[in-house]
Amino acid sequence: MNKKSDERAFESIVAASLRRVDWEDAPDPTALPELNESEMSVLEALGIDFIERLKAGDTESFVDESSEIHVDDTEAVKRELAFSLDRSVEVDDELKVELERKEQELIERRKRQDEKNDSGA
Amino acid sequence: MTALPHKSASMDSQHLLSDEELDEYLREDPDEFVGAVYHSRKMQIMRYLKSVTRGILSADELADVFQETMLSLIRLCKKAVDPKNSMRLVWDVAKKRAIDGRRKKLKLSSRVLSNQEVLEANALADLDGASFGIRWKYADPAEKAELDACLIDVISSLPERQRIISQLFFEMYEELRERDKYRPLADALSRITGKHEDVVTVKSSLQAAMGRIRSELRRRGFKLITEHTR
Repeated sequence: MNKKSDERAFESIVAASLRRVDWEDAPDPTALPELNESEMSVLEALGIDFIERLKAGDTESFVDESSEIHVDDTEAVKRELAFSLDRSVEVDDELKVELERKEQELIERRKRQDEKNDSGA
Repeated sequence: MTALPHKSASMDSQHLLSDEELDEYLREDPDEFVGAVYHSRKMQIMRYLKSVTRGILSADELADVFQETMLSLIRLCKKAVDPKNSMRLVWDVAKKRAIDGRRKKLKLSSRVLSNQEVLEANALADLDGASFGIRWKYADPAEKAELDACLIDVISSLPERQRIISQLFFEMYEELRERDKYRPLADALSRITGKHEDVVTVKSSLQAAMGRIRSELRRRGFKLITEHTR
């Protein structure tokens, strides 16, 4: 029994737990998550005649299309990478290929930079 | 026809109609059924949608899924539907719309209904190698149910990038577990961010997310699967 086995089992249990709600015929009302303030507000804002409006064909998205999700948080990525490197990410074949590719990119970039410097000198 | 609970009364007081009363609506006045469900159960339905979408949608996106659910019910009620157990119909429709919403958010194409038996068998097999395997297998079912209720809240509290990556990971779990490669996860994240995501960084983010989920569960006193035993 090792740490990796524990992590794999942890992931497996969480995956099955999250998926359980997809398989149940009906929810357990006591196990449903609470709504936060903004979810409550948007629900209340639907109004008393919401269904009548839907029946009349009055539908529009509530989502502001300009507010796309942003998961490109460069600083966060750097922190996570530093975190994982500190903890010695296990380097499997896939990671090894990726690291070698990155290293090669870096070498090529340095080479180009050196050539540029040489020609400019 | 049995007198149906007065519509305006249910609107004013948020009176929770019983399942039997809703069956009655569907049988006697299907045109009013969806309105009765909305006025009586909208809070429960919204919480259920949040549960199935695992807290990854914004309030507005959740409202869109709620609207889709109501529209689907309106369309269904124009056809002949079995009025028995009408709330089963509501949950079924809500679940389908929520899974669609979840996968749309994660930019995953089709609805994949995973095999419960396979996933749970995998979990059992993985437990054999874990230090907490026996403890989990024989744990009180109530404690396991507690994990189901707690997880969505924990994952919702992650920073956005970790939240999306961990949700993608669990959504694609069978594929990733079988191949033991993270390239599909990086590709899926690229579709969301619109830029190249390399495997190393994505794997690091996933590890960070798992670490946070584990420590948050532990902080909340849920120690069954978060503490190593020797």
